[in-house]
Amino acid sequence: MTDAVERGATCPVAPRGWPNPLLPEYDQLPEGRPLTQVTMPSGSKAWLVAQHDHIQRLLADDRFSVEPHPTFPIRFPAPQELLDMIAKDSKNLLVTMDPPRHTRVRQMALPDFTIKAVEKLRPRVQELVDEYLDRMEAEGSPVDLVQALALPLPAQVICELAGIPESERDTFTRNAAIMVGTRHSYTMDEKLAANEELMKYFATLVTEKQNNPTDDMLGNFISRASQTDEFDHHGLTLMTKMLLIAGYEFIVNRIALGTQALLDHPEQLAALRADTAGLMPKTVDEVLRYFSLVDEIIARVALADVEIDGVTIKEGEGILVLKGLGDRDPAKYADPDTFDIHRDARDHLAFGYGVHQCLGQHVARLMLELCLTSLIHRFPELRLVESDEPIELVDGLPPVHKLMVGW
Amino acid sequence: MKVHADRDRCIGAGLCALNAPSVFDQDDAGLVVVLNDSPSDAEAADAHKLAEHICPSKAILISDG
Ligand code: SF4
Repeated sequence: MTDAVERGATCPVAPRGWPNPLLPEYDQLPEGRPLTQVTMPSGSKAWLVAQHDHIQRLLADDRFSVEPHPTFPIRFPAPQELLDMIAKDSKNLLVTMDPPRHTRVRQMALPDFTIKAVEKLRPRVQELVDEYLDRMEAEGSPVDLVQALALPLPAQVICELAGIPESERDTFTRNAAIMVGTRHSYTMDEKLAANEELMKYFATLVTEKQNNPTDDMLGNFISRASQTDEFDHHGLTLMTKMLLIAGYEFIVNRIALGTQALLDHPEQLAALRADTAGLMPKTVDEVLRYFSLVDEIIARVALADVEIDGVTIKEGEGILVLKGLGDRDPAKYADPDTFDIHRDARDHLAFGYGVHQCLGQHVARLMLELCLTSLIHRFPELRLVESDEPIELVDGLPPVHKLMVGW
Repeated sequence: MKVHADRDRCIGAGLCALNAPSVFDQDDAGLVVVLNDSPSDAEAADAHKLAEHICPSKAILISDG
C-alpha cells in the first residue's frame, strides 16, 4: 500500500501517526511508552519496546535470542513455506545467529569494517562523490538527488567492496533495488525472482573468489570463512547477499533525507558550512537519530524470564523494538522531534544496539559525511525544489524515491 | 577512575575509538584496545558515556580509583 505524506517543516515523515498496516497498535502506544503487550498474527505474545533506555537494556541482554524459535515474534502473517525457507536460511545469516557462533562469524568480517579499514576507502569514495556531482552540475538545475547521487553512490561503493566487475553491476543494482524496495512497490513474485537471480549470481561470485582470492572486503571474508567449516557454499552465498544488500537502502535514504533536513533548516546549514569539520560528526549522528524513524522493527525472543522496570517478560515471549520511537524518546532527547545538529546524539539507535549492531556503520557514516560535505560546499545555493510527487510510504516504510534540488 | 575493556564482549563496533580516540583504539582484528586506562577529567566524561550508552556490547567497564 502507498500513502502520501506531506513534508512538514520539522518532520518529513513522522513516526507517530504514520499508518502502519503491520502493527495497528503502534499508533496507540500509551504516553510515556511503557512496555505494551501485543498479540502477533501467530497468536503468540510480544512486547513493544519504545523507550530508549528499555531498548538499550533489552538489546544488550544475553537472555534474548535472534535464532528461530517456535514463539519468535514474526511480524508478517507469512505462508508456512516462506517461514520454513526463512528458518533454513537464517542458520547462515549473521543477523539471525546468537553468540558464540555470531561472534566467530562477525570476527571473520570485522577486520575490513574497522574505522581504520574504512578510512582507507575515503579517497576513493570522495572521488566517486565528486564524479557524481560533476555530472549533476553538468546536467543543470534542478535534478533529482536520489538518481544523481544518493542511489548510485552506495551501489558503486558496494560493488567495489565486493569486487563486482563493471559489466555485472547493473544486474546487481537492479535486483538489489527490487529486493530492498528502493523504487516503488514490487510484487512478491518480482522480489522472489530478483532474489533468485541475485543468489545465482552470488553463488558464482563465491566460487570465483574461493578459486582466485581477491583483496577486497568480500574476498577477504570468503577467504577467512573458507578456512573454517562454518559455512557450506550455499551458506556463504547467503552471507554474501546479506553483507552486500543489508545497508543499501538505509544509506540511500539517509543521504536524501539528511540533505533535505539540512535544506529545511537554513540556519543550521549556515552554521555547518561555517564550521564543517567541527559540526559534521554531530550532524551525521543527528541525521541518523532523526531518521531512525525508518523503523524496521527489531525482534527477539526471551530465553528466560527477564524483569525490567517491574514488568516480567516471560521465557518464550517476544519483544519488538521500535527504535524509531526510541530515537524520538523525550525522556532521552530534549525536544526530540526537532532536528538539531548541535545536540549530542551519539547514542542513537539507528544502527541497532547490542551484539548485532550494524557491522557496516562506518561505511555508512563515511558516505553520509562525504556526500553532505561535498554537496553543501559545492552548491552554496542548494535548495529544495517543490516536486509534484510527494514522499511516499511503501508498505509502512518510507523510502525516498525522489528529492528535487536546484541551485 | 580506571578504564577497562572486555575484549571477549567487544563486537568491534569501533564507537569507542571513534568517540574517544585518546582513550581507545581498535586493533586490526577490530577489537577494542585501551590506550590510556587513567583518562583525564575531560576524557572521563566521554568514557562514561561510552560505557553507559554508546558501546553496544557493554564491553567498557569503568571503576573508581
Ligand atoms: S564500542 Fe564497545 S563493542 Fe565497539 S569496539 Fe568499542 S568496546 Fe568494542
